Amino acid sequence: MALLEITDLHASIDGKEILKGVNLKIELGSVNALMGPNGSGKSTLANVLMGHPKYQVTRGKILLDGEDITSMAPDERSKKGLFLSFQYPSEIPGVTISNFLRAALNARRPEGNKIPIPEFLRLLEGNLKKLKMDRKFITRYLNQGFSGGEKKRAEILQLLVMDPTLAILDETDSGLDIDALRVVAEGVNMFMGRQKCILIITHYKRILEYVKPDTLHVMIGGKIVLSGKGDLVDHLEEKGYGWIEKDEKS
Amino acid sequence: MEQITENQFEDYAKKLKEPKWAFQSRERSFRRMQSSPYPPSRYGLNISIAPYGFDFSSVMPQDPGKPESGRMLVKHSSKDKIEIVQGNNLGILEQSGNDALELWKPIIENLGADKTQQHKLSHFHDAFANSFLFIRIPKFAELESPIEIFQEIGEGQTLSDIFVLAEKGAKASLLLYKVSKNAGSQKNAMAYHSEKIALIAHDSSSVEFVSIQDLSREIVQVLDRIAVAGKDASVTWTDVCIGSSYTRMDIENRLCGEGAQGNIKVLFLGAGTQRLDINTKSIHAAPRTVSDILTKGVLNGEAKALSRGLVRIEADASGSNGYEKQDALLLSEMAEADAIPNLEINNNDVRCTHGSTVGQLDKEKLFYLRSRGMDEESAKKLLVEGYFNPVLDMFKNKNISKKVHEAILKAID
Repeated sequence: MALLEITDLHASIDGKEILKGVNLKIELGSVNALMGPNGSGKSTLANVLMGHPKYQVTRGKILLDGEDITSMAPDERSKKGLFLSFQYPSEIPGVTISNFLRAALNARRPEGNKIPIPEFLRLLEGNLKKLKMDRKFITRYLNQGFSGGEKKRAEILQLLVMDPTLAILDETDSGLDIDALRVVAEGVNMFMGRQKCILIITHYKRILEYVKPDTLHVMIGGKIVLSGKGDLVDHLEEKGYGWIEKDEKS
Repeated sequence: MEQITENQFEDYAKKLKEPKWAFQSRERSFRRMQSSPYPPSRYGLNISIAPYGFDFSSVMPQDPGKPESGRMLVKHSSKDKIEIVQGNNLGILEQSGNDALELWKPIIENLGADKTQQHKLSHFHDAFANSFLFIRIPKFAELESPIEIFQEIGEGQTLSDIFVLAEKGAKASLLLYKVSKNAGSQKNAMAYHSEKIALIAHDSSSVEFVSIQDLSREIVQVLDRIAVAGKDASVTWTDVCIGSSYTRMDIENRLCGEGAQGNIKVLFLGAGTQRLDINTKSIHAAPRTVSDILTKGVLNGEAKALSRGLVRIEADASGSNGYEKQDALLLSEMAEADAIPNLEINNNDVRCTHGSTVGQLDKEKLFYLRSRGMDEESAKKLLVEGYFNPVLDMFKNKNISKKVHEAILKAID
């Protein structure tokens, strides 16, 4: 059984349909890439999977580990092991990364059983080290005044600390310089070493050279139109999306 | 208040057994009370901020014979440096010796110089005040830890006066905690409480007055704070307003000496049908004076807040800077916040800015937090805590910022 199974998923925003029947399966232990032209619905899919209230699911369903999560609240989905690394993470003034992560970890623990501070600090510092990040970073207000690269690193830090089962990375590689990209990719590989699965939404081949996908899906016009092995990316790089769209029409 | 008779006033005043000057001063206030209006509760076309389910005209003086009611408990660790006089009537100034009368009487009288401008509630307070605290911080004394004042507002009507005199070069901070005596017990009757605080900051002195109030929702309170700052003196008010049914707060900084600085911070959290009427003023009356006003709060339920701010720069206050900012965050559809900033500038060589924001919680931020596993309630709490944290970062005294933070956490829990 696939860990994530999406069947005939339709979703709209303000009455406009964006997802027009998405079918997708993700197996535990697999790296999946999702590519597609601008406006094809990739970010919408990511947000709908996480339960963003501004989208309405009009048809279809999402199963996570066999359980229907289609109408579940975002925090419930998070507790079930789903994680979204945001394309544009919100700035949270007044809340330090450290406070934020502690609140997030405590949210998934039983009431009255908060994570002890020393344990929290060990967890946090271990992951900071892995990502070659300065300890001072966690005393900053979350994403406030962060550069693009810092925001993405903060997302990967959250990924490692929160340790979900399925991570969706929505263009986490966009706008990163080579060094930052390498750190992010290493973080993702560390995460994958823990028997997880991942869906990487990207426009570029670069990140897929560091994190090798098992499967590559192509989304066009609100649907997954093609799924193939990871090396499909070379083909796409060479020919663009045009040849698939042509095939679609014929 | 309209029904208070001359006889009632005289009976009350006689029970206090005060010296003649004090009686006369009360009597003047009583007369002014009779002829002056209530403070306005409507501003402009659409803003009204009257207490909910309470009428000021129902307020009557209560028996002053309970000296323990509303008594302020003062704690400080530098006994030798500061002088404290305390009691339920002004007779204490004569009784305490130490030239207290010579020191305080002119201050009481001078601060009352423009009393004709004040409203009925203010004169009622002066006519019937029943709890007094005088604190003198002598020349160049530097207090290491804050003077802490605890006050329980409960049985009986508390009308308290606090006077703080910081002599030349003195440095001090004061922390007033106000709680309800029978907090938690459900009494239906609304209780009236008023308070006046005056800070006199002589040249080069620095005084910070922090007040944290978490009164029960049956209390209607009227607060009046005034500070007068001399040359290079600095005065700072911080008010954390959590409880009460209705709070009207007037805070005024008069910057009278060259280079004086005046800061006002009001942080508030309102819920239910709470009403908050915040009035702040920075008066620049000398050159190169600097002022800063910040009011910032969060409202839930059907709570309502109005923040009116004024920066007045007088003609001879060249080279002065004045700032005011009024922020509010609304957590519910029915909560309401208004800001009315005002600048009066009578000198061209100054800088003045003001800004105000009233907004709702950002839905994207909320989703971001929820995607990390926090339920809606916890996510909102974290955002509210975060809303105040940048203000707490500005406190120099970390002990005080910690206490303010604790009060906020307790309020949103």
